[in-house]
This record gives sequence, structure tokens and C-alpha cells, in this order.
Amino acid sequence: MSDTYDAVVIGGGAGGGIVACVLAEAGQRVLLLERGKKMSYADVTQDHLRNHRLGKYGHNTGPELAGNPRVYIDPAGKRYVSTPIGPGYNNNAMVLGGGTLVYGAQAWRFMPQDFQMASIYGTPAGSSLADWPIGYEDLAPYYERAEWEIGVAGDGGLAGKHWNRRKGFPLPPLPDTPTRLLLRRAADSLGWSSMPLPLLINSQPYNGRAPCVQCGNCVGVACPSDGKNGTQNTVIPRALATGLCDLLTETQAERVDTDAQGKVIGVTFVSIRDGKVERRSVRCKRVILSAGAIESTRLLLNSASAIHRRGLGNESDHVGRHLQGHVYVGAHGVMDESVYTGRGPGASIVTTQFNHGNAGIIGGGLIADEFIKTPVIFFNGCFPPGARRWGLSAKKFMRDNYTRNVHVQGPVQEIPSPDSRVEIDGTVKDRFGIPVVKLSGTIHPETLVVGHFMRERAEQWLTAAGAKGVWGWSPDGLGLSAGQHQAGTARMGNDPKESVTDAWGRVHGHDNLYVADGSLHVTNGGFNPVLTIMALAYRVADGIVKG
Amino acid sequence: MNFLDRLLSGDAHELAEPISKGLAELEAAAVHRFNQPFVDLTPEQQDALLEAVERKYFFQQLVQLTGEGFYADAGNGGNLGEISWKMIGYQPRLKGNMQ
Repeated sequence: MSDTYDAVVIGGGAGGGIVACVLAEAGQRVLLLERGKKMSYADVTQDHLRNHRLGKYGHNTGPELAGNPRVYIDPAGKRYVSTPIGPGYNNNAMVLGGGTLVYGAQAWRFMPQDFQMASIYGTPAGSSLADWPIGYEDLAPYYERAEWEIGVAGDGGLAGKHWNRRKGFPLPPLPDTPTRLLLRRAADSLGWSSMPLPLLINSQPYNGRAPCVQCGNCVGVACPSDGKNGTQNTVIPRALATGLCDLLTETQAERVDTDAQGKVIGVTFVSIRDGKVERRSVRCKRVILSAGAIESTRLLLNSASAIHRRGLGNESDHVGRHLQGHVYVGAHGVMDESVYTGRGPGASIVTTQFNHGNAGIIGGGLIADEFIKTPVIFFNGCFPPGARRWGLSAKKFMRDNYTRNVHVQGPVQEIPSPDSRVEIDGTVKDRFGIPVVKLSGTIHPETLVVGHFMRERAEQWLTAAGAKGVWGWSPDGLGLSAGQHQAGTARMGNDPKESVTDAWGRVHGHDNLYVADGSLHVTNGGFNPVLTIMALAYRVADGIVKG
Repeated sequence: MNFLDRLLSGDAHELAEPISKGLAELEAAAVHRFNQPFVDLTPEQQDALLEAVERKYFFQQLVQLTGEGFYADAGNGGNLGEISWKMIGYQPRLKGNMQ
């Protein structure tokens, strides 16, 4: 631990881990701050009621329920002060590796059209739908780097039909499942494209680590074989191996420090040592925010000063706006025979037929089969609407359906709204006395239209597969969406009046303050966003190294 | 301690009062309608009483907690011997924590 660094990276998740690695390997002295713990597989636990897929009573990877409140304003205007399992909290894993320690690990490139949403579809009234300042071809080399350095299993040939790719994936797809085979036949019969789901999971030994053991517990918990690839077992160890990167876990950044002229000069952070709250500051040449779309916003806004009264990078009032995530839609059906093997990950096949090119619809999304569900998740979400969840009929439903259920779903590309936002609450503070965020707003109504269209496609796929009792769901009301796919709050752009950072993730008006997480996403694709966060982090870091 | 006792004295303590109040009312209804305690009724009689309260808050919460206890991992105290998992065919491929 030193008093000065070349770079301070705030947040050791998907984005920050990569930036720390690239900068340290380029010879920079880096301090990586992570407010969560470094956790092993055993530390994370297998509790079916306290994990990141079902956090009914708590989260296995934080934040802890006490001392980490957020304020949430619901669509009716009611105000909540929420714990991490309370209304509207929109939690993401708070641990070294961030969401990448406990995710399902879907490895998506956004499509070229995803970077040009406004040009292709126009901007609906009341929305802030816009083009990115970069295109797919700008990001493609960095997607490739993420796929190879973190490790993705997939079918490069089939993916090549939808994406211009220079090479395939480093690992072959995970093995076939009964569901993949029956859904592939169904897609073929409908004339839809399909392919094995690309996953950041080792189908074979890779980078010195073991392959997936198909335990069937991917989402919400850590991996027993360490064959699921996150930043905690790839780039962060590499960063530390340089000897140039110091890692402080259980240490929360409080503010980005600026001098009297408003120039970024360092970071103040806080931790608990020997039972006492300890504040420290370091000086550095540059700061990179990778705390996620909600907490990176909090830092920008909490770093207000006499020069930057509305927070850093917020001269045009875009910081914290355009908050978006993914509305999920999908369908359930029942096959005549069991399609269950117990072998994970479970999610195995996808169609990207409907991400774009749908008449009268803005964008769309992928549809894939779902990861293996724990029985309690099945109990919570898989009874058809109106079905009784108690008594003999409920037990019979569980017994007859668990192994025969087919479940497809996917993220819908949201139409961003400027009124869906992160602000600082004026009164509520966390355990360190730091002002917390206030979340408010809703998805844009156009997103409901896309969701309904995609729901029908999910039902169509299951029906073609021969499933009985098919029923789908999509939202019919407006609510806030952010969650684990949170994005958009520090959008990139060429015009400082319309964005927070430039096309390289550098905050407008600053020459040494950067963002490298989902905050940068102008739009969030109809895809799980992590590979895009990773690719952008490589690109932001590359921009810093090359100056 | 079993799942419900553990939860109602801990993570879901705010439900202890409405649930015990609702169960007391259910018991009173059993005696009133069938002249016997709820546990001594036939399954058909029990279902008839439960149908009458199935839209009530206490009952919906109780159903939810019962499902959580019965279908979650045995470590939570409500799925002894993983009996519900055997019933539905769920086969966890990991036993306990591996390092």
C-alpha cells in the first residue's frame, strides 16, 4: 500500500478487474478497491433461500442487510428505505469478481444494430433512445480479447452467421442436453436460427483451470470446480501477479477527490479496521469507476465540489439518467417425458432470430432455455397463473412437472427513459455515513410492446417443440428495471451535452477520470450485458495505455 | 428448530403475529363448524376450511413459507432427508461444499 498510484480502479467486478489487469501489465501502479470480500466457493454457500438467484432473506455475496440502504420511489410515488432484499433495491453481487463470481455466464456480443438503435428505429416520444458513438466493428477486437482471455465456450461457426467474427471461440460448446435437441428441432421446423448458448464456462481445461463438472448450480452461487470464468479467477490474479497492483477488499470508495481547479487528484475510501471506521486517501494520476451503473453514479454525484456543484461529469444533467436493465419474458411448457438430467448448466440453446428485424417492433431480444432451477425457485415461479400452490394438487404439480418442464426466456432490449434514474438521497446514509442513492422512474411503455412480441415467440417455440400447457409471461405494467444487468447511467457520446463520457469512457470535462462498467451503455442490447462490459473495459484500458 | 419456527423467530419475524392469529381463527372455525380440532378433521374437511381462507394474507404467507421450507435445501430445516427433492426428481450433483 502506497500513498500514490498511477491509477485507482474502483470496483473489482467485470469491468474493474479487466482495467486493473491491463494497466498493471502495462507497467502502471494500480490500486484496486473492492467493497466486498474475497470469497471462496465454500464462503459463498449453497443456501437455496439466500443467494443471488433467490435472495429472499439475504444474499450470499452481499451486501449485508444492515448498513447498506437505498431509497426507492415506486411508480405510485411511495418512498421506501430498502435493505438489499427490500423493494426496488436492484442489488448486484458485492464481492471480489462482482457478478462474475455468481453469474450464469452467458457470453454475448451485442449485434451491430444494437449500437445504432436510434438510426434504425427512430426515437420514441419520451424516450432517450440514441446511437452509441462507436459501432460493432470498434468493439469487435475487444470482444475477441474478452472471449479468449476470460474464456468462452461456444460454436463460432454458427455465431458467425450473425456476427462478423475474426476467429471462433477458444472452447467448444458444453455438451448437448435433451432440451437443446428438442428445441433445435423445433427451431428448425419454424425456420428459426439457433445455436449452442455461448458461456464463460470451461468446457475443457483452460488457462490452467479445470472444466465445468456440470453440477447444475451455476446461477446465484460460485463454481465448485472453478471452471466458471469471472474476473476473480482470471484477470485479477494476473493483475496481482505483476506485483504492481494492490488490492484492498472490504474497502469502499467514498469520493473522487479534486483540487481547487476541479482536476481529479485521488480517491478517499473507507473501511473498518479493528472495529473502527478508518478513512484514507491516496493520490493518483487517474481514476476509473467500475462500481456498476448504480454505485458508479453514486460516486460521481457524491464527489460534487465548489467547481462541480452537480457532481463530476454532470454539467449536462445526464449522470444517473437512462437507468435500464432487462425486462425478462418467456414461457413454460410440459413435455410428455422427462427432459431433466441434473447436469448443468442447463441453459444450452438460444435463438437470436428476433433480436432485430421484427416488423413494427423496436429491437427485440434473445430467447434461451433456462438454467437448472432449484426446487424452491420452481415452486415460486413455475405454477401456471391461478394454479393453487397448497394442498395435494400443488404437491402433485411439483411431482409431475419438475423434470418435464421446459422453460425458455430472455432479456428484452429496453427503450431507455431519461426519467428512470439514480440520484443521491438527501437524508439516508449508509453505515459509513455516506449518502445513498435514490432510485426512481420506470421502463418506457414501448418496452412493453417489445416484451409482448417476444413472449409470443417464446410460446411459439415451446408449442413447436411439442410442449403441452404452454403459458408465457411478459410485463403488463410499468416498473423500474435495473437489477444485475443495470446500465446506462453514464452514457457514452460525442456530444458533452447529450452524454457523460466520450467514446473512450473518459468523463467529459476531465482528462483523467474514466468509467468502465455498464454505466457506459447507451442501450443495453437484447443480450446479457457482461461480455460487452468486459469488451468496453479492455477498450477503455487500451485507450488509457495508448494515451 | 424446524424451518417455520426458525424463520418466524428470525428472518420473517414480522409474520409471526399474523400467522399465529390466522391459525387461531382457523382452529376456532374447525371447532365451530365440525366440533373438532383442525388436526383431527378429515382431509376433505381440512381442505374446506383452508379454501375459505385461501385469499387471506396470513394463509398466503403461510403457503409461501411452507413451500420455501419444504423445497429449499435441508440446511434450512424444512426438507428433512431432502424428501421433497426425491419426490420431484431433483438430483443435486454436489453434496455439501467442495473446496
